[in-house]
Amino acid sequence: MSGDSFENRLIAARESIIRSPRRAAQDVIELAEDFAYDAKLKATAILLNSEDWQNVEDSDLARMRQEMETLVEKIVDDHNNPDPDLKKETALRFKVFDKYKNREIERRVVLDANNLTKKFVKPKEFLLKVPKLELRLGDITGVAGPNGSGKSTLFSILVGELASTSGTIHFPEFGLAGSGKTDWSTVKRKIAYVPQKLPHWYGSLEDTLRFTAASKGITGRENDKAFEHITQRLGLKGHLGYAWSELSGGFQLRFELAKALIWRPQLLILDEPLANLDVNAQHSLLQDIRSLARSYINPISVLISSQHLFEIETVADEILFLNRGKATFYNSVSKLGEDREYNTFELQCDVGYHELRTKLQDRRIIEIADLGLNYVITTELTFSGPDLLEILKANEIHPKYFRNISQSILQLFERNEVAA
Amino acid sequence: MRNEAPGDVGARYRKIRVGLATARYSAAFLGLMDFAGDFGTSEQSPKGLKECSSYHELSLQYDDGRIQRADYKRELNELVTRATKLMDEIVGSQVNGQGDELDDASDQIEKAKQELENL
Repeated sequence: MSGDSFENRLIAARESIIRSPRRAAQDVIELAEDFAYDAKLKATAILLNSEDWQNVEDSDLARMRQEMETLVEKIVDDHNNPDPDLKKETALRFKVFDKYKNREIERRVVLDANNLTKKFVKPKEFLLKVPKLELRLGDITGVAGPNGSGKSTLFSILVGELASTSGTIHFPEFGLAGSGKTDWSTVKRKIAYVPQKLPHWYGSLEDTLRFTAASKGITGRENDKAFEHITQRLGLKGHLGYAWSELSGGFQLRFELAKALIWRPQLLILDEPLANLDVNAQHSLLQDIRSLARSYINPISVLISSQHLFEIETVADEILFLNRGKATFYNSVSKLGEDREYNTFELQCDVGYHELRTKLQDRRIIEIADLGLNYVITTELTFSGPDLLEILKANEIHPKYFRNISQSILQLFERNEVAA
Repeated sequence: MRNEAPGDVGARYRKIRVGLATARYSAAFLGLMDFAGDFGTSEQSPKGLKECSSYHELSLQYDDGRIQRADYKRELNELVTRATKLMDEIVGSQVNGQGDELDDASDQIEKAKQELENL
């Protein structure tokens, strides 16, 4: 949409105002943002916030429409006959915006592990085998896999809590002398690790955070700034007066994250952070982790394990999938399911299995499996999600839940034999 | 899932402004804080944090019933205005830092074009 011409956007905004002034605010605001030169017009548009507009009385709709139309006409006039100085300034601004359009972080490698193995003999034989793991600044790497697949073992090795049986781990950004042997006492001080089971904090939350920063050499005024920044960034201000045991699971995790991030580490390792969070807390935490990881000035490499597959594949750049200790997939999220032979869909509806089989008549549908809570429909690659939805619609089957899982980590659980 | 490039000042600027304009204040003020931290000068960066703090403090006051809706709306509009001003200042600093360089580049392109035409 933002790439459309002024004329197209203008038509869209005008139509939107006619249809529903309540819903037109965003179109008008974006029109002003992208095409007006005069900052006053942008400021006027920005104050048309949706709350004001949403709560307007029906009797006021005509006035509201009129105000928006007037603003749009002013934007048109400003766009077509701009003040020359403003036009020059804006042109320069857009030149700078264009210049920086694809400005990425320098994605330097923070951790480089090769041919890692860990063998356990007791209580039963288990071999963890990870041929390659490369963590880069600004990237989020998700680790998924069934219970007991070796995720926590891998994390323990990476943070120096457990020695590997064989293999190497290098931390190129940590300024270690290249003696070949990892200096774990230094490495441990440079990795921020949030374990699955959070430790209990004693004493004041503020003191703990400030002390953590001080122990990493952040003292005096810098300590104040780091404390202010992280508590504000993670929304902890209102909870500083609580005791640890009075905090909810979500806030305990946020405080632990603050402790991990207050000294601006380059590598953050999170073991099952979503386990005890409600849906909203999960989304807000993942959003924060993504923003923090992709900071332009202080990017962080994040390694995160989770059983919340949809969430993890939404936020991660790379996925490492472990199954019975073996890395069966390690690649970019976009490569998930690239080599698949079938498409797979999950469906929940009020129709019984036999009726569904009867109604979904298409030669490209290979299998319909009843998994109890939902159906899993396997089809040929030429059969897409919209095709299936069309057949459902034609047969008046109303899906309660529908998801194309052809390129989801979920497939790795079911296939378990994807080449690494 | 990748969003805009972290160094894409324009896209991040626009995202925050649209967030402010569509009342997604919490995300927009956090975005402003990160934006100021990433692109602001040493003076602008703490201002981003300050505006973000002010917004959250104001929200708490409103949620607790310490201020009335009319006052909340008035102060919020002031905050939004200050936030947009700060973003413009930050973008202004980026533009000023790059303006000469871009003008030089444009001049060089023009010069090269002239030279080609003369050939």
